[in-house]
Amino acid sequence: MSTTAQVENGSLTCPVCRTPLGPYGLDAVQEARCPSCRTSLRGQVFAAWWTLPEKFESKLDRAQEGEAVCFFHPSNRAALACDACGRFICTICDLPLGARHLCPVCLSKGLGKEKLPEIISRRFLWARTGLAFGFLPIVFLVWPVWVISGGTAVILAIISWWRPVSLVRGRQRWTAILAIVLGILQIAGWFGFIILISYSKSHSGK
Amino acid sequence: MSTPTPVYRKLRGGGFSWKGHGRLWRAEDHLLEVTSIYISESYRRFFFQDVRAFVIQRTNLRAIWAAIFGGVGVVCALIASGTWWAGIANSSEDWHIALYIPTALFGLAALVFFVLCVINLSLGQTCRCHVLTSTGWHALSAPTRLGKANRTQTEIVSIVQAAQGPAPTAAPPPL
Repeated sequence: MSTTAQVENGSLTCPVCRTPLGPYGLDAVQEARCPSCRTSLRGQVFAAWWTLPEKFESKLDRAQEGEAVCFFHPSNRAALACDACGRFICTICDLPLGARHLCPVCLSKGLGKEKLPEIISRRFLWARTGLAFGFLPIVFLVWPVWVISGGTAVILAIISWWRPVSLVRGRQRWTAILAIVLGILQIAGWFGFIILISYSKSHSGK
Repeated sequence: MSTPTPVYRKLRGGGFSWKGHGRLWRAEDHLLEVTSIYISESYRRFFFQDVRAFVIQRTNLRAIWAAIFGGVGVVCALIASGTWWAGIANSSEDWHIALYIPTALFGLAALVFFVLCVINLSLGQTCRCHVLTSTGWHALSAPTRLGKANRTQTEIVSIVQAAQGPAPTAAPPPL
């Protein structure tokens, strides 16, 4: 660990008030208090803390005669190949994504159609929404809207069959099936109520 | 260019925040924070290669929640006992019935709040976990209880050290 590394990395700060913690300010076992906000902190610093940020300029080389060049910058020497399309790319075009290295074109393709699970930041869960539409109106007995909420539950559950699912839980078919069943029950219940009301009205009139 | 979804393994301990229910999942090369509001999930990834520090901050939310649940429970219990006493003191039969209904309702509410208070106390001390990367500190939505956070820390430390190699322990964190 050089002095340069210390200066460039800056000081380890408190996660709450951003005050420098100072040397030995963080221990994996013993709790320490932040000198400023007095928050109790305990933790571990890893090797990446001491690693200098990679020198960008030093790695960017101009290509010599006969050397492989970057697909996007023909004057730059190729540093590596894109893991998705195999094109040679320089350090400017290299977009590391976890352990993989992609070119800008492949990354933008992945962003557009959610083909790269590593960059998905949000997922709408169609089957769960269908289940909420199927379940909540029954629980709260709002029967006048059952025909709408039931229909919505069935439609959402059917859509969920082809839509992307939760990254961690995978495709849960039972959620969609339950939503369809509850949706059909609501629709049947709504028609049942209508028939019952009209039947009782016609009989009370006699 | 489609790639298979990584296989995730759930880590112990969840947590609730204004953003929803949080949980940590572990993949081969990264930690995934999932914040869910039932109908949608949002994701944040922390690659083991990029994690610079993992910190547990002790919080006093446990005491605050205990005071809220306990306080509301006591108020409900006082109202329930007051209406019950008024029911006994009143000789009219109609008043008996009218006063026993709020007694039952407030008594039930008091019981619910006392149970919540006991659950909150039994779950242990509260905390908040933070991850430091090259972009700065990131507060995690889970785990929020110290016991689970300790186990999570042990697991994360071993994975990150395996990915990065051991930190130079001889030297302190830079000033």
